[in-house]
Amino acid sequence: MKIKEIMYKDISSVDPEISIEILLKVLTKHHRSSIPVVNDDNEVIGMVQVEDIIRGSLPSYYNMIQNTSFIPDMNQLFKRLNSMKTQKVKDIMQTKFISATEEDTNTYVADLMIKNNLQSIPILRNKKLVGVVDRIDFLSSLLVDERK
Amino acid sequence: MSHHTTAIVIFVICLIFFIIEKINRSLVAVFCASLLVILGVLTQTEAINYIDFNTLGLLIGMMIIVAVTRKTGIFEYVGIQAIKLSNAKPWKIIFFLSFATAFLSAFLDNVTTVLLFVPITLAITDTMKLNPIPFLIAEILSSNIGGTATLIGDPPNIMIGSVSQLSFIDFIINNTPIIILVFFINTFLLILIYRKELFNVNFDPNIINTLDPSKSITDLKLLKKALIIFILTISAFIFHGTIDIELATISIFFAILMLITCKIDPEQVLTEVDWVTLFFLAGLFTLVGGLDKTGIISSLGEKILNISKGSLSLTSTFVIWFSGLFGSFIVSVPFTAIMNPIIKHISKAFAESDPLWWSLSLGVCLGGNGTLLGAPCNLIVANLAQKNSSKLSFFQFFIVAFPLMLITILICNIYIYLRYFLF
Amino acid sequence: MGFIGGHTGRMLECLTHDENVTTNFVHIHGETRSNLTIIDSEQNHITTITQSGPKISREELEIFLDRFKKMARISNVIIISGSIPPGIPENIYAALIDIANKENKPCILNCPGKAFEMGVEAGPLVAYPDVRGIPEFYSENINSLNGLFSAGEKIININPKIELVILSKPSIQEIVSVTKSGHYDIEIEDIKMTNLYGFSDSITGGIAYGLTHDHNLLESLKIGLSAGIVKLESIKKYNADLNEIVNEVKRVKMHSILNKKKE
Repeated sequence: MKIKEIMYKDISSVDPEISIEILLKVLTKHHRSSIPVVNDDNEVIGMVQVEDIIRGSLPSYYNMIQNTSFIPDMNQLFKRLNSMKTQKVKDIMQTKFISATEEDTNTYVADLMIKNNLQSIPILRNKKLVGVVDRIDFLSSLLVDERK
Repeated sequence: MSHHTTAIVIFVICLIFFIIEKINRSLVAVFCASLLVILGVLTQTEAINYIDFNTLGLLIGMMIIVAVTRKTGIFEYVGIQAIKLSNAKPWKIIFFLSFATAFLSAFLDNVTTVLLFVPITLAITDTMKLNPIPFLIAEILSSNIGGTATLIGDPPNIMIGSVSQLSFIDFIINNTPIIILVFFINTFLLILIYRKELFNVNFDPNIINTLDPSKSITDLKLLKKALIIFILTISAFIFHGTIDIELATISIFFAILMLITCKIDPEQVLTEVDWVTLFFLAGLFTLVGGLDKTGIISSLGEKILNISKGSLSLTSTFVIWFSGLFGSFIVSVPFTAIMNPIIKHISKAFAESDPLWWSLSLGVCLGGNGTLLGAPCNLIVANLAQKNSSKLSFFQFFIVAFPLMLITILICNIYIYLRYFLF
Repeated sequence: MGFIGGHTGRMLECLTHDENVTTNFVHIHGETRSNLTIIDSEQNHITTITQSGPKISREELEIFLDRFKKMARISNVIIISGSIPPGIPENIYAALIDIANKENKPCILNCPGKAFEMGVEAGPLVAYPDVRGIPEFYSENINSLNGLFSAGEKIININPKIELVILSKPSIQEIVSVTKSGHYDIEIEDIKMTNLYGFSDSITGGIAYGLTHDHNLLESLKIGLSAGIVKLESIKKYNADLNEIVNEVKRVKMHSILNKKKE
């Protein structure tokens, strides 16, 4: 089965110049944890994930301490998130990202997701966005027959 | 081109690439080492024989033991406990953290020690809104100082111990006493230098009081097993002379024992062994071997003897200052790799040559405190600081650390003279 | 494209995907409105209860415009239809048509009232006002065939980019089209124009299909009208397949009423 049959046929995207604050609003309203970043020709030039924002908001030393629960609460996360608000999407987006095409098989795309630990993968046709696949889409495709 | 010249040229090329850092130094070391064999300076067998597997084995074993033990969070526990003891006074925090760093550094390698303590330090200085730089500098210095105290504390010591056949106990008897003194003097001076940042500063003591070190412990069962084996390993090191088993064997034996008893997946732990550094060392040993075989080492040794006119005390003094000054700018491990065979050569000229080794050990290890280039842990701390938006520049470190290093070398020089030549 | 929100919005999006249509909606804070249409086929009576819909914020509009600009570049045809949601300026369609014209993309404008009045100024390729909202100034007597043609003529002269105007008034059972070359009275054989529910949407859809499949404007209009026929004569809301539509083209007759001299 080709991925185009189960992909989420939505090409919502963001512009690289928008602020993180607006990005967060878009992600929340669209109920998504990641979204493609496109240029003026609708070509995907990057992916931005909530994970990148959170990672950027954690002080660097957190990553190096096994168990950080001892660190006193100084609202570090909130403060740093706040200061990131005015940055632009292009500052945090990943320009090297995994993508697939419509003709790729379900199995291959699922494998890509697991190997690269991704929540979602953009589906491209000649670099232009035609859809996205989220992990749950694979499973909900099993339910399609039930619905019909 | 004679083998003599080839060996020098290749070695110099190597050093240049180490300094300019365009290619990973391990690749450079092994590549140049293989070049030596290809160009006929060494045979393959000779090349392999020059590799000090005792050092490598000891390092592998310790890396595994530390990798497993650190998962338990015990080292963070020690660090946080040290901070709690300080009662939130910044100068006490620096003192206790430095002490913990130095103490652990005597048993773990310096890089691991700073990787353990620096993040906690940054977390605490962040929350207490203190300037982290004095703390970071203190940790660098304490790590290198502490590592000098024992045979396993610093790779140069391991390499020296291997070549000189000096035992774990020998290091404790000869190095540890003076290092303790050096530590206290160094820390005292450092606190003095940074008294503005450490005294009469506004801070919230509650932050420290609410710290709960026990939160750092991730796995109590694992911790108990790991600690027991850790202590057994150190004990075995202490008595390795008596039981007549070499350090690499002890180290690897207990490392594997730890993996078995703690039911750790070897594949996962083995990824935490710093193979890149081990390859670097292997390549380095071969490169120096090339210098040795072609007689460059012995001629360098002769030159040193000429300068010191055959006097052991003068030679020792020369060695400690030379090591200290050079070791500040050239990373300690390559420097030790060259000095070892030189000292070995020189020591043949003397009946009692141990002071030479102590001079080398103290000089190289303490010399690592001179600049950010002196020891690998120095740069790592600077990088961590940068990631946290606190810059620790070369100059900032130099202006504080270099004079302190000179003082510590002087103290050790006097100590060696007093201990071995006057009495 | 457009704005959707809340549970209703998500449902709408899913249903659209089920029809194999790709979406690029801007998800908004509010909830997509629900409109209720009650069709009494015996009495030929339609009752609609329409919510006003949630207010669109300036930010949401900006996100939409940014996406629209990008989509305009890669589209073949743009259909702008429906009423303007609260919070959006009335001249929005003019802005969208301007963007489409900059990218040389044909635009079909199908909407009521002020939205049409302001949008048509920007010059869509096809102008199809909702007849219930044609301002009277377009024609004095909109309830006659001549009145319709006169309105159409007035509209087509608003902007040289407009090439086709479509006007329909079911109360007098008339559909006309006005182009730069003439006026056409459209007759559909045996049509039972009981209600016009979904009629204009089908026409615009059919025109878009024609334009993207190398048909000229009038041919595309015929295809659109055929789609409208199929829509009117089926009870379901959704369209039938392409063959059915193509089959009905022969029922569409375009009577040329006026042939304009070429200038």
